[in-house]
Amino acid sequence: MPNKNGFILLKPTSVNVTGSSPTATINANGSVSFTNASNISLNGVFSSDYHNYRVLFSGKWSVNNGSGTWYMRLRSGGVTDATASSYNTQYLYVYSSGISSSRGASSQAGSITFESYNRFTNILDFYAPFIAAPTAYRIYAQESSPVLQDTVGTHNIASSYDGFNVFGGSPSVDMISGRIAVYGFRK
Amino acid sequence: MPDLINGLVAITPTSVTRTGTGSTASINSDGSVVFGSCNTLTVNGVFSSAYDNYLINIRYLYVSGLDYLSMRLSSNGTDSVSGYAYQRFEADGTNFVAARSMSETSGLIGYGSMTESGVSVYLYSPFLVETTSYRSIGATYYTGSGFYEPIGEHLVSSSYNGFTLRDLITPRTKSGLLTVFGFNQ
Repeated sequence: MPNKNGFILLKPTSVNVTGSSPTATINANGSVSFTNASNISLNGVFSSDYHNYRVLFSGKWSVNNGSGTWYMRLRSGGVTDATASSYNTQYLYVYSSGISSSRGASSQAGSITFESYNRFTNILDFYAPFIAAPTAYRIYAQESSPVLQDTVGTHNIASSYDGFNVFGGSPSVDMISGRIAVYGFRK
Repeated sequence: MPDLINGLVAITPTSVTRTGTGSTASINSDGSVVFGSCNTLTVNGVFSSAYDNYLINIRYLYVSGLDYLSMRLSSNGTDSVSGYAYQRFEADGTNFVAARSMSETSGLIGYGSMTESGVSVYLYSPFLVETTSYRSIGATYYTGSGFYEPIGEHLVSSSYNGFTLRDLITPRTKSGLLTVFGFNQ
């Protein structure tokens, strides 16, 4: 049987972080560990080597425990795209006995994590972000209680992106410590 | 292209134990675990400091009856029997089911019948001295095909190196195969 790994851990070329005395380190294998961050960007992690990607975003609130919401934006050459209404998102929300859904267009995607009082891990899937075409994404998000809040969406700008940004939207004092790992699906 | 680092690594358990009359369980050379007619199956020594997050792929069927499949975290073969909370999310025919359970003795991960079922359990940070969370994505057939995809948490900040598969309501006999993968980091 031919042996070819299909799911590859990737290493960003650089990382940017802001927060309250934040730190961010690219580990030897490629994951990014960070502390006290409110805004983290991974650069140079999407390329022509792969079409589709999976991101594991793990952490725990270090400041303002669990009372905020975080979002995602695509990024190219160190510039984050925040074009109004460019992230078209469908939400699925399952909370206790309730199931609801809604759709919207925004300058950001998500939430990618929200109101988590405990350690969380959520999954972000990106479909063809490096190709100069709209990028589809799916976010598997779950938080304390527990609550399920998934989103699917499309970023409707036909450009190539080599990275992404995650950030606390409101309140701005949200700080998370954790780890981000990006994986590419072999073509 | 730089050197490729495998993103998912198959993990070989240090041991497996089981309960159930006539039950069997063994570790294959590739690290997967094959089990037959088990009421419970405990998989030891699969979680470690090498990885934060894991994927457990399970195919299974009940030898008789049907039940919800559940999981307990374990440490050196001893199960943690409290602190589980989960949110059910099911689609069965034209019906949606959503329900939350708190302070449970195990975590719901799927549903099983006498027809082959499968579930992928994403298990987050079981070895860290933190709370553990999980998400299940699977496929089950009973009177028809259905979605049974709970999420959950184990709200005890301890470290666990294994887990036990069991049934949520009544001890049943189950057969199947599972593999544990670590997400490289």
